[in-house]
Amino acid sequence: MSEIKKKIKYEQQFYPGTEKVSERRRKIMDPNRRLVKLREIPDDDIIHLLGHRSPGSLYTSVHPPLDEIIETYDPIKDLVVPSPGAQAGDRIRFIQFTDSFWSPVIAPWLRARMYFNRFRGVDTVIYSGREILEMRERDLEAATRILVETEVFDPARTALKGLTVHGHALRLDHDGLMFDARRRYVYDKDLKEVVYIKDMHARMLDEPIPVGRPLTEEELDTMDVTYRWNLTPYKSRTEILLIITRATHFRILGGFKPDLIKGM
Amino acid sequence: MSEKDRRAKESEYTYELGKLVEKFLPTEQERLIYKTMKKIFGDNPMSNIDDLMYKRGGFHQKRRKEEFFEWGRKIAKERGIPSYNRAVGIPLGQRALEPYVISGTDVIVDYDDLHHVNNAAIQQMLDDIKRTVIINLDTTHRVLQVRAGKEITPETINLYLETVQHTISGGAVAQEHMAEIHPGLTSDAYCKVITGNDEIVDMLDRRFVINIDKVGFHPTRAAVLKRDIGDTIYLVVRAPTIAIRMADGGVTYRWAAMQSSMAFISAYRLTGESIISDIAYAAKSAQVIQIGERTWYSRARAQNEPGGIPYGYFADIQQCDDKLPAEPYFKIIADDLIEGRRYMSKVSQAGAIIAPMTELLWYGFYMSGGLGFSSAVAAGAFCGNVIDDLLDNFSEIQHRSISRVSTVPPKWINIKFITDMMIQAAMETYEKYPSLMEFHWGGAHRISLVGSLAGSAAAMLTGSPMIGQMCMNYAIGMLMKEGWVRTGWAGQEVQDHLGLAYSCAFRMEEGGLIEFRGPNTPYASYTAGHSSGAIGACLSAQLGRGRAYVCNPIIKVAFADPDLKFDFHEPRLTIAKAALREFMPAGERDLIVPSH
Amino acid sequence: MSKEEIYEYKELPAGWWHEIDWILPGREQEPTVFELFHDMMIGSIVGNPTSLEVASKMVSRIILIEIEHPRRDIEYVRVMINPTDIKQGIPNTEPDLIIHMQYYDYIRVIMGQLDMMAPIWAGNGWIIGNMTCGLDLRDLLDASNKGEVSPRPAMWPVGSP
Repeated sequence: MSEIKKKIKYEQQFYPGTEKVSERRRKIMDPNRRLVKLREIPDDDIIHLLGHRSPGSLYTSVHPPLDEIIETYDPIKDLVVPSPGAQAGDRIRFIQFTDSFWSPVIAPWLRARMYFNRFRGVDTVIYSGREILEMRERDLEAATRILVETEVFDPARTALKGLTVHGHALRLDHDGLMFDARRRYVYDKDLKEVVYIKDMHARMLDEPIPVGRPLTEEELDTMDVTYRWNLTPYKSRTEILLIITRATHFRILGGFKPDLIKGM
Repeated sequence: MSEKDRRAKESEYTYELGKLVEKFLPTEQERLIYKTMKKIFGDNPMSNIDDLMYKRGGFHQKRRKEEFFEWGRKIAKERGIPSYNRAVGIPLGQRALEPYVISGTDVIVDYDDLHHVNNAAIQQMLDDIKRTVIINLDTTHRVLQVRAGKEITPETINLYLETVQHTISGGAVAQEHMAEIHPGLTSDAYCKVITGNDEIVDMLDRRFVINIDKVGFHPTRAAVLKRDIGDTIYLVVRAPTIAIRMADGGVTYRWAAMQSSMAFISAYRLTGESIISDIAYAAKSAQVIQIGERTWYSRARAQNEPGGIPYGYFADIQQCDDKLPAEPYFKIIADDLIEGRRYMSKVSQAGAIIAPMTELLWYGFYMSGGLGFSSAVAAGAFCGNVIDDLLDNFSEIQHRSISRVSTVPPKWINIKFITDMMIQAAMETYEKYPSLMEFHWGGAHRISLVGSLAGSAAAMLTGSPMIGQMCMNYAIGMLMKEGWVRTGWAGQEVQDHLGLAYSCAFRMEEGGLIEFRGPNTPYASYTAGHSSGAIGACLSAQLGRGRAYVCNPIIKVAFADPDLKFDFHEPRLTIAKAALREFMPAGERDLIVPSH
Repeated sequence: MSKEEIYEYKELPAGWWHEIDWILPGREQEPTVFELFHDMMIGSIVGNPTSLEVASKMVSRIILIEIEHPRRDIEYVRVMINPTDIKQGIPNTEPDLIIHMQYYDYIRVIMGQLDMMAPIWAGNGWIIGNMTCGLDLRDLLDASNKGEVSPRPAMWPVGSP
């Protein structure tokens, strides 16, 4: 019996592969691993960047706090612990990131996997040029702190863009920043940091908000989460290719006749 | 020192690939993509810095945008209600508004001229498909012979054909005092006959015949088409463009039935007798070939609209492959690289019909409307020489590696290495060329290209569109996704994940035979970027099997007609002409409006 | 196999290995995959200047060859190119390329009687991984068996990762 128990003990592996890109992906997806903090951004600045409320203002509610609502019994509501924002009845607001194609520290599908593993109460939609994350407002602000202060944010190549997100696939500007049609951020040559002059919705800020220095090319080479032809060729990632081949094979057979995949 | 210490571990041998980049620059500089991207952006295409970003003068960098700006002001002044207005529009032109090179040509056009509302050729392509219906004349002839005792001879058929040209354009025959239609408005309406019987062809007036031997098919293809069409006489009816623009594709078969029946009445001296209902039924229902079926309720459209056209019909409508011999591709590529390249280039040329029809028109216009989808999704299929470059290189690798096998079996585990190789090479090309990445700036563009490449290559080698579809779904939903952790827009890869499970399904709600699926297949109808791959798979499978057509030989011949307004043999050039304002469409109303 | 012959899987007659001059003498049993590649490396590749020249231009590669014998268990051999090394079994790191083939096809490939890709195209084997690495291996085998290599496609020149 102990042999069987040993065999069926499930251990999360998060991602296949043995080289540094796979290791980065595992680190980002694994909620038990701490992301390195690279910068400190004041709370009020985060609220300004999000642009959903003013610092110090109350959170807008869409329903009374859950403690004050009398609801019919629902076993699922009993099981699921509400997030702080849900408990308080906050409205749902969003943050939207664009990640450049060029040596990104995180990319859309990895974002989604990270959000699902590290945060609770998320609603995310994955595009190529943007990824939106919707949460209860105070939960969102807490998540934003992680998303902009740690190693999953590169001030030059990750951007907060609420609308007009075009730019992930474009060449970089002369300062090495990702394109933004609405010029929400610029490179301050004196400060040597990227500075947001507009919020996520492209509304002018009263005071510019510095978000830290751009990561160097050497740092990006080690933190890149995509396989590059000249650094870690995707062609040679046989472990990943074996796994996706197997998944595809099973999907085709299973969709046709599930009995075909028994014992495989 | 122990043996354990002495034995070197594989993992200790790594290599600094970054330093190898410079070695391969001369090779890259020979590629078509390098030259084309340099032409488009005027800069080092392999640099990922744009020094002129934000400094190009906004929308003033493009003459067409300035024209829009001027027109917007003019309209606002004339009507008192603002129209196009740069003050509220997106801040255009912060990035390069690059020109578009039509693939395979030196023609450079403005991106805005490739929008379907701005391009008369794309509109006429749609119109020519919508206004076509095919009637089986044998059915009607049988009715005439049996019910009315009429003799059907070459003379009577020729008289009928001459009469139907009059009626299809809106001329009256049997009824007095009918308001007729100005022939200048319907000058594009006509009918022609298709048959596989050379004797019948010889007996008919050649003005009214699409002669399979003379419209450009390779003789091996013509022979197969004639054999499979047989002795039946089909009437290809082209309703006037203005009619379908006033109504929709559903008017085509009604127009055809009405006017061909009137022509029968006149030519065969019938009257309003009961026999007419049999003739009308024969013309409208019995063995009528619609180009598109009606679509399901929530996407409700009439017949002959793009959503209802099967993938196999799309593949037959294009005529880019007409001059290729009907030989299996893998036999050709093993022996002759140049001929094999021709096969590949024809598939990429067909993209100029497939991508606008499915992406721009069906998804971007019928299903969306307004600005629609990014025209770059379709433009990627026939601009920039991207697909041409990649397919060219892939045909070379196939030529050098393919061995003499009796057949390439459609087995997933065996054929997927081709998909891996091609798609990883395509991904590497995007990584090496930041200018190309900028050119295909959306995930939808890239997955459309990746899907088309994967589907076409696998299908062409095996002759199986099903394998092509599997490879397309794998390439987008698995391969590209795990490489870049980035695909297309939200849910766009849903149909890749579902598609793998549905690839062998014959249940209608799951898809069915690949050639009979269409843009309206339930699981595919919500997202875009995949129809090109599926149709490419059907077309490529046909080339892989060495057949003359994909689905329906009559459709194949019907669109080989040189009198059609849109040239289905040279779609890229036709679209380019329209972008340069050199293409005259049909259905214009100049005759009945004040001069302007 | 010439370009005109159609590929067909066939087993070799008993004692076939005694006819091959680069197989080390003393192999009484049908050689294992490792023994074969080892013998070929020593007897055919290392002593051939063309092969050495071809191998020297390549990037470091690790190839796992997985062979199905009709009557034995699956055999594995790990081949390293640049530096050159052969080891029985599975490598301790991710290989660049995995080739899965039937035993007798494998023999004919390394003897130069069969193109490496023929069984793959015919569905009797599969490959996963870096195809450029596969081209490199093919060049190495061609150099040792034929003394010359075919020109490479433009997009995957020699030395390309």
